[in-house]
Amino acid sequence: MHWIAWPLPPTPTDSDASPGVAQPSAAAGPRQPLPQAPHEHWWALQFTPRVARVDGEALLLEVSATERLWGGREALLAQLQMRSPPWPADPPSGAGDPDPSPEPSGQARRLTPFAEAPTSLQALALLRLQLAGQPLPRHLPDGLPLHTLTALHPHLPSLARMGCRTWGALRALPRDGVARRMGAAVLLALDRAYGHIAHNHAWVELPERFELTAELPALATSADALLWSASRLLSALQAWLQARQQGVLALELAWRHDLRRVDGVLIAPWHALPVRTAQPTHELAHLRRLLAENLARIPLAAPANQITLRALETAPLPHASASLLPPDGSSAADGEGEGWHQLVERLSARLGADQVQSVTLLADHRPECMQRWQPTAEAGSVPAAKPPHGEHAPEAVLWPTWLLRTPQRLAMQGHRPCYQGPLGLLAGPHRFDAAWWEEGSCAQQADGRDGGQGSQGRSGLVQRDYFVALSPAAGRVWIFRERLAHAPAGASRDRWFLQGLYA
Amino acid sequence: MSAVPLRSVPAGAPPRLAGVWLADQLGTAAMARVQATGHAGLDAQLPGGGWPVGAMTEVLQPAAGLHVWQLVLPALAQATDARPGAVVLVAPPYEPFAPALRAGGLDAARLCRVQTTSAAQALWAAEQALRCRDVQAVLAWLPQAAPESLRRLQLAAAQMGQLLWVFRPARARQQASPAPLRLWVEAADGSGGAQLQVQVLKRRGPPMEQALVLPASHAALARALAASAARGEGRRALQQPARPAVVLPLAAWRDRLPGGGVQHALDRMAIAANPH
Repeated sequence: MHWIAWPLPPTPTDSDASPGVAQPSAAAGPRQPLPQAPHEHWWALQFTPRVARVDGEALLLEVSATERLWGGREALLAQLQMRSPPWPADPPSGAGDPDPSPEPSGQARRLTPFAEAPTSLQALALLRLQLAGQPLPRHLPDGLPLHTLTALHPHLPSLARMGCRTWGALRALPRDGVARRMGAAVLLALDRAYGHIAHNHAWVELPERFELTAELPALATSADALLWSASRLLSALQAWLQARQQGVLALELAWRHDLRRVDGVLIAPWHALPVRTAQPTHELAHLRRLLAENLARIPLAAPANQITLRALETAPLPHASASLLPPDGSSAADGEGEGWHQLVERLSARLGADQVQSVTLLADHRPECMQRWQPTAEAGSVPAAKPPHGEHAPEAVLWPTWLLRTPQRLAMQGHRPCYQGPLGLLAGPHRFDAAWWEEGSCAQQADGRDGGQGSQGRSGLVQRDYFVALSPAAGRVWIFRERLAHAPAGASRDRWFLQGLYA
Repeated sequence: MSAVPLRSVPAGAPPRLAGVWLADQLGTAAMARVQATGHAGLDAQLPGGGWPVGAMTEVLQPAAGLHVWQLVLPALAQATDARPGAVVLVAPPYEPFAPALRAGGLDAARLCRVQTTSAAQALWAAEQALRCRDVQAVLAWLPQAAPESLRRLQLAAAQMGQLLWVFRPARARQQASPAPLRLWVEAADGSGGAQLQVQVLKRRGPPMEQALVLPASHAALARALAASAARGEGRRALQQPARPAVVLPLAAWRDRLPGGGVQHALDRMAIAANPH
């Protein structure tokens, strides 16, 4: 068993009580020390599942089972220093150096003092000594002063009168006498501190569902202000996800309007903004960007005074294995940059999901039905490494590379169609039949453009004769002449449409 | 006396230094990777012998969308075949016809089209795409883009090592550009749309004296069109009335098919016009 006692940042009430001089400046910056809520300790759960909070002053972490996962105790302590909430630059205990580790000078962020010991109560006692600036006893744990054990606080005066000042002295007293005069709790605490009896901590536990509500310090009137407050909840969400080894798929940010009605119009008390991601993630930056993009599109109906962040849907997030091989130079950029899903979600969030499209090929003979562009965010397709090499139609090499989804009606000059100048036919015709099973679908599409003559197109089956034509300005184009299958010859003039461009 | 060199530099070639090229030579892309264009003539004119990877290529055109795929499709097909990654089209002027692109070797699943409503959005989307590690190539149509914003794109492409083509109108020709490679592409005069003309405006190397002429379409299409034209001349010579299509007896043209022949109406005419 190896316990680490990690102090919690002092709360404002502490700083009022202590005669610290530079305390307010310690909390400079956006992170004001607010009263400790349960979710403040979730960050520690990513290191070990055995985390207990003691007396509002410290977290106790049992790390013997997990320290190898983090690459040894030293690496784990370094990680703890990095990920823990920042420690105030000038702790209230002015005298002496409470930090046992040599502190590099000129470092902006001060290292958090901590203590390690084989039992939790010893670690806590050592931490209390450190924070108070008192020298550490030579003999551990017998030399620890009695006031470092919480259970002894009521009996400190009487023990002092007996000349009993250290744990060792108290332990040397006859047990039955101690139990009679001070109660069994003292003995129990002492046994626990020495590790003779298991200590049942009240572990910090995560709720099954993530839902956090925060009162805003000031009314939020803009998306930026909301986002600023939401980022605190987002970091709590990140800690929750990391501890549960899950990634979030859908989350919801809700805010409560401060006003019941605006300009006489009743507004809902809450407004919720759901945000979805395609892949489970716990990356704070990505979630914040997604929220920011989505918030930027929604105007606040009224100032908000409370926000709630909920995780609607989560999924287990397997950790990626590190490679044994050193990274090769060719894929130097592998680690950098963001993933495909993040890109698609960000683009979709700002531009709209319909604006980011990927294509699906369909088996159809009509050009405009051969492909369907649909939002990439819904398709969720990852660009595959090796696509299945399907056979393409042999004549596909003769098709144009740009398509006009709705064929453009061409103006006529006598009997010649014109597109940026009179067209000369190069090759053709190549006849495509319309789909009789979808009567009128294609014809309607084409008819929609030229208005008024639609009834003719719908009456019969439409055939198209495709030609490759040359336009003086636009190069080679793909045009078709529409024919009615059952129309009498010469009944109507040919209608020409532009459908593709060879580029 | 005049033959005595001032310094003891060998009289032959000057020393080769990485990143330094002589003004009359093409820059050798020793450090930068390139992607072969698929056109041998164009490869010979580009520094390093291909499209620069991790740098912006600016293509200036009289009309948006012209000759785009003929220029970049062979390179894209090779690149996507070799490595995973998406091809992002930012604000393309028309809808890409994926079946035809697949016939050219570019898998449709790799394509992603991003439509934007403003120039700023297009720039933003292009930059975001360049910062994504799963994107292999970005084709952006940016008719209005300041040199500063193009420079951002160039830096983003250099950071992540992606292929980047920016298509811009011809009027941007006089503007300064951060792109290390600038091409001016238009239809070749008098070729009847069969050829396109590429002028390299800026490259790491000497100015290009003569414009490069490339075929403007896929070889199969060019063959079919040539055959159709030949057939049309033959028809005019015979003074035959135009008919919409000539259908040969099946056996008559099947034995004339080259090995693995293309079965298409246009090709059928090609065979009819050029009997072996």
